[in-house]
Amino acid sequence: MKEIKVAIFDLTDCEGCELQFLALREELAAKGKDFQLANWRLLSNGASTGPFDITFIEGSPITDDDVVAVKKARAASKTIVALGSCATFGGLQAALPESRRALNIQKVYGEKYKATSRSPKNISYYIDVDINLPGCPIDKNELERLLAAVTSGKKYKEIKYPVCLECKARNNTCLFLEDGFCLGPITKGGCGAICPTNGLRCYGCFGPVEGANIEAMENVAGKYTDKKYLKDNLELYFKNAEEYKDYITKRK
Amino acid sequence: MKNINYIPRKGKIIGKKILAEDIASIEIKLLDKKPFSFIPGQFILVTVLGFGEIPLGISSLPAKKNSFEVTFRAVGLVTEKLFGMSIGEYVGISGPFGNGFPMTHLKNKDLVVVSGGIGLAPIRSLILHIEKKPQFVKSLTLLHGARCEEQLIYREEYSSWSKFTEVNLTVDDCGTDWSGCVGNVTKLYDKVKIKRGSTMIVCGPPKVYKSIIDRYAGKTIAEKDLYFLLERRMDCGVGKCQHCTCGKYYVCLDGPVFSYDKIKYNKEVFS
Amino acid sequence: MSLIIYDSQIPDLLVELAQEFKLYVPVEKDLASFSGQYIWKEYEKSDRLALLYPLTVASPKEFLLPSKDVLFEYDKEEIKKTKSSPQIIFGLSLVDLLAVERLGKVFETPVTDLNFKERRDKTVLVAVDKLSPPQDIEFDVYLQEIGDGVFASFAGSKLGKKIISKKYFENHKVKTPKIYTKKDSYLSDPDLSQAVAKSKNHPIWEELTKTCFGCGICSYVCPLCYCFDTSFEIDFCNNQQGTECRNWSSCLLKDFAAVNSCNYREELKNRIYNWYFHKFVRMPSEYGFEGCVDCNRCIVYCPAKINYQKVLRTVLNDYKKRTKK
Repeated sequence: MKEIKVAIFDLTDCEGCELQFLALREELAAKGKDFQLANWRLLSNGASTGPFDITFIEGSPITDDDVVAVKKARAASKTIVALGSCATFGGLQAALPESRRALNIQKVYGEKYKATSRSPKNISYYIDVDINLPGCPIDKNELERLLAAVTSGKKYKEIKYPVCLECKARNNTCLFLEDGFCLGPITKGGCGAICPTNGLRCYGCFGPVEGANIEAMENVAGKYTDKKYLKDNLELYFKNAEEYKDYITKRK
Repeated sequence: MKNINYIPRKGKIIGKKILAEDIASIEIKLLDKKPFSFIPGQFILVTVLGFGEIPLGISSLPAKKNSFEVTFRAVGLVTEKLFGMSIGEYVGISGPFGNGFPMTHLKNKDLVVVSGGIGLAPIRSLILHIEKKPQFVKSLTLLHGARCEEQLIYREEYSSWSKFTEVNLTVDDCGTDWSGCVGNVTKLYDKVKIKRGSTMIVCGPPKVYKSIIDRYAGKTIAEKDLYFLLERRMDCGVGKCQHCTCGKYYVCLDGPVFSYDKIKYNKEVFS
Repeated sequence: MSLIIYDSQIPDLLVELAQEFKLYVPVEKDLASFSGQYIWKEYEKSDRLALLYPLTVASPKEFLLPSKDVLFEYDKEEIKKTKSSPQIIFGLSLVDLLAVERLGKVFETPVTDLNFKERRDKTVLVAVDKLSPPQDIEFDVYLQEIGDGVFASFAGSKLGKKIISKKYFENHKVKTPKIYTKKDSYLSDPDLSQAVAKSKNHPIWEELTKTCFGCGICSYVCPLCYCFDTSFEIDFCNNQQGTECRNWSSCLLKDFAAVNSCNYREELKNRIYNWYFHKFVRMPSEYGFEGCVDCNRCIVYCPAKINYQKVLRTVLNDYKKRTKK
């Protein structure tokens, strides 16, 4: 088998998704000779400029340099994977409304300060992305499934069921019913329902599932939850997701 | 029908032809010594280990022992993989499933076959059957359309088919050297004289169904003589997985060939 | 004379059974936030049993049609069938026992699903209920509670006989009361199937899309929703190896009836209708029974609090009004 050249870049993020590569270290070691980590800041050796077979980009671009970097990565890579929800949707840092961001900048840096940063966006805002691997952080098993697909020439198939399937398979009762709110029913699965299994409701970090009925979420959760709270929660991760944007346009 | 254990039979690719830039036909030989027979219109599930399985209509002559052909367009996970596979590689085979074409009903009929694109694949099995026994039907007329000339599958066979078939072709987009009909398959309706009382089989994208029904159902063609070959997602082939259901029917068990009178009021078929 | 067992004897019985079988029992979920919720779990001596449980989250379906069921393993071109191990489900309610019975019929009609059968054949069913043992449903052992912590014991199979002849059971002169429940009226209504079949255009399906998430929880918890997807998983360390699995799915999911060129049930209202159609029209005509044993899991665990009984009642009433005229 031909050696696969892998690059991992990170932008504005917490590096939590990259850590999942370390969680896979034994499997990666077993695959050792097939993989060449050609560029990864967290490794001391190797800073190749490409070409790469597969490039993982974590985080969201917020400076002009970041944008140049992702464009360069695109040009040097056969496959680009948006790693995690920052790369896929802009992440938590994108949840802040623009008006509020401007206000905060003034507050922190003073009225005269001219911000050089851009508002955080998903990577696909700047370049074509081949595979989105959402999650905050991503799930180790999903990463493994993706790497297995990539190394065997198989197209990575996105998960098309909501978290609820995994949640029920793990024998959990429904936190939506207990707390009056949980984003599980409209959020893409793949996490193994790790939060609900441990008693924390779903925050939607994998983004909307295909066919997510956001209107129903507003109708049903709206009965128990305050409208603003609901909107803030939906926009935490969904804000830049196509399903959500389509819904907002349709509603208007 | 036999019981199912979800373990496909081992098949070897013994022939491969590229029919268009994204369409290929492969011949598969089953390696076990068990018999394999099918009726034109039946389908099999082709498994590519590690990738998945897809239902494909069989496109070859039923009489061939232990080997058969399938034709497919590389559009999904499995078909794209299959498209890249070569002679000597292995696939899994389950089936055949479904009922196939109503062969006894087709006997001595004026048969009209309407197909679009890859829809000609399962029909070819029937055409080859008729080629062997031309007296099987009274007459055979083919109406076939494709996106462009390069997408017309089995092109080199049309001339031999035309010895016993009235072959009518149309393409949506044509190059300069195409002298035939241009437009989708509905264009052919006006050009071809269809005898009252004919039997018709339609296999193509769902968008041609409506024009066929409007034009022929209950008029030139009796509703019971108008057959549609339906395409659905299938994960089992034996009426369990529920993906292929159409109202009260399973496409895998009750179909994939349905006469119009059976599905006329079934709102799930044409949606 | 009748064989009885006291609940104080049951743990010892379980310990003995667990030596031979994988043993599953209903227990109360121990996480604080989940109080009052019951689940199935593999028996450990420290478990506090919840026999006569009100309702478990997952139905006994998970033992016969697990959420991820490995159909076979492969290595290059060689396929190896996976084998399941013998198991006892101890403590099924009568309703869940009926569901297991029906699931068995589904997977043997008209074609026997050998993968399901292998697992079912290796499964021992022990039911515990206040109601009398049924005449026409298979079980191995049936324990009917006839007094506080006292169970009359019935065997329904050879293995069942062996189990109740163990030392934990005693011979006693007791009368076992005959208790049966009457079936809920709407399920036994002879018009139900016709009513659902003729209601594709009823406005209720559209109305339900305002609250139904299409999440499929009703299917996952249903003991009789058996639809599945198959998928291949490639081993990351050795790409030549992998498994084919069949996984839980739901006809409410958007891509359930989608192929590359077309989605045959793209609209949620059609998917919702199909869910009802399958349970109350297609299954009765295919197998002679509804795909519902009235266990209520889909009502209890629907985040949108959709009640299928109310939906059926509306459909049924409107059908009766229509046909009366």
